[in-house]
Amino acid sequence: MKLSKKISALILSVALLIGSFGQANAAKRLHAAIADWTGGIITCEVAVAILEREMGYKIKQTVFPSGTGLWEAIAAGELDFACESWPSYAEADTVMLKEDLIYEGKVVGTYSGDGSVDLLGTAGIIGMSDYWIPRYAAEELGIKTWKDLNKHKAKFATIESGKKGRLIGCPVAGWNCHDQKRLDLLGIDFQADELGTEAAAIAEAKAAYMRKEPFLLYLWSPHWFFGEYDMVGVQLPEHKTCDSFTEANNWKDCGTAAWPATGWAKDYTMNYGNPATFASAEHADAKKFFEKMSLQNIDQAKMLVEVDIKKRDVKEVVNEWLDNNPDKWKSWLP
Amino acid sequence: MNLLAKDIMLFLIFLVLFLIAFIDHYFLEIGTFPKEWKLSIRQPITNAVESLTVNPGFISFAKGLRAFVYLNLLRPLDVFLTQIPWWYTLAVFSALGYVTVGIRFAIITALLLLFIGACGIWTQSMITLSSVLVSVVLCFVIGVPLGIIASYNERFRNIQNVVLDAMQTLPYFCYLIPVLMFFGGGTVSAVLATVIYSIPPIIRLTSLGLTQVSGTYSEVSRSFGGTLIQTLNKVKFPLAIPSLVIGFNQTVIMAFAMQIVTPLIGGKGLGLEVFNGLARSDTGRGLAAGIGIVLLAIIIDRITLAWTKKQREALGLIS
Repeated sequence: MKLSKKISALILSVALLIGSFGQANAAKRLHAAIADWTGGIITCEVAVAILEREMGYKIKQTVFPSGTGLWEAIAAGELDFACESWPSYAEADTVMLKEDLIYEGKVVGTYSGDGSVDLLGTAGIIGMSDYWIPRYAAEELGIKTWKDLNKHKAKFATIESGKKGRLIGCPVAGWNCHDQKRLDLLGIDFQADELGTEAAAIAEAKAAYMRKEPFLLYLWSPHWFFGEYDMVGVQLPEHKTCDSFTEANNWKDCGTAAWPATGWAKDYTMNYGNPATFASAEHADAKKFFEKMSLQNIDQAKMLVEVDIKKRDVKEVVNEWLDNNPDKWKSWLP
Repeated sequence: MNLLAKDIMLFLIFLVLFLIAFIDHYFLEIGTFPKEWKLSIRQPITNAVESLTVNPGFISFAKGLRAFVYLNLLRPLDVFLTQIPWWYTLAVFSALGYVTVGIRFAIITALLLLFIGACGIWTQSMITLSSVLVSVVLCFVIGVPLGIIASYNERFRNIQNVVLDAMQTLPYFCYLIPVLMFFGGGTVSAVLATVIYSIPPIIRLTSLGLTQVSGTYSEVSRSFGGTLIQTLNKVKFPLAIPSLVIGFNQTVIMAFAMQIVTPLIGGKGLGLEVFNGLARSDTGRGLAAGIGIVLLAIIIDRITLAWTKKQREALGLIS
């Protein structure tokens, strides 16, 4: 009895001593989502690293696949913020945001939802999505735009797709890419295959590139894949807004004239968070930081190369970028 | 006196721990693995996978296998199971339930399948069923011969056990990406990953069943002039059937479990439905599909297990 008390006292003091070696007194805490694609992870790590290094935050991070579920988790307060939402993919944004999206002083989007999620500001990244083919295939087959794809569909076919060509489609249904609908509406006789993860789609594309086979790949830029492999876009038609588009009525009223039949919009990506968390005085500084944050495409692209091609640790790469480029982010601090 | 010695011991242990923590934190990293001892196997593995990816011989083999599995096994079964009317499938399964277990299980089977149909996931269920069945058939065709060899050769069995241990413990994400690079994403890759994951039990239990058959039986058979094949076929196999069927049953259950993972590399069916349900935070959709997998697994599990029972009774192993 006496002995066990002593042992527990000793263990406790050891724990306290070791704990005091580190800096264990971070008072402000937030809970962030880790995205399911590398670009999104980097953008969030930049925000997390600045909040932790410069603003005395301790950020808990949880892996959470993007999509409507993430928006609901944030509205419910399970998570405090998430980074780099792409408006062309998000379907919850029109329902849940109630603010203007401002990029470098210009209003690039207006939302009039219920305000259950707080638009924290642009992430700075401007995204572009398209379907891509490798340059060798484009030159060999003479494919210039998406209109030429049908002529060569046999070259893009696989055992499973039969007579149709195959599109290595948007990997996660939750991203709301509507690949098959877009293909059907444009009259491209291809089958969109959802592989489930970015890693899977890239692995297949990489293997096909190494074997110099033609393939059609859905992908977004900035992405490290373009640094390593020479790809050309098929230039989907211009984006048009379809006002009646919602997840529920799902493109039916929009016809071929608008989204998602046409290309994706230029995506001014944004960070978003729980309104109650960011309205509190405690987190006013964090809110100001997010309003100012603006990570440029070129910077994310550089970090993508380090992480995905050189296989380095994300946190290490982000910290190195912060150390070497203080002029790029010091102005974001409140 | 004794108590005092214990106190001093405790104090010393505490002091050593404290010193280690202190030195590690401020002076020398003695707690982390020395950098000079590091051995890199990442690059060789990457290189091996990449050279196989562009190796024309291997790729034509991979394409051939993909075409064979898809054209001869997966697509016919898929088309068959999704095109035949639901009541026919339901009747077949109920009949199977009646023959193997009894009238009560036949009714339960019919109700469970009706429930799956009513949830609106009949087509996906049939796709899942067909990929599970194809995977299990492949496991059977590959696994049973390996089990037989292992039951005759101890060295082979020892090596095989290590490989099987590795297969059962290696996280499946490790082999999903190489499978994709060789076979491309889609249902065939999903089937191959399922085979890798669910083949160990059938190999292990085949070899176990055959080794457990008492030596007396095979000696009797040999002394009456039975050849090796005859002994195996007529004596050992019938006696090992209970163990074989349990292996088969375990393989089926593991193949069902894998259906939740295969959507990561292009698998379809109920797993994809669960996956999409989660991504859209549509709990109902995800859970309905998950329950569908459970119900299918229950039906197959009961039917195969009941079959063992009948076989055992026939052999007089249980009364």
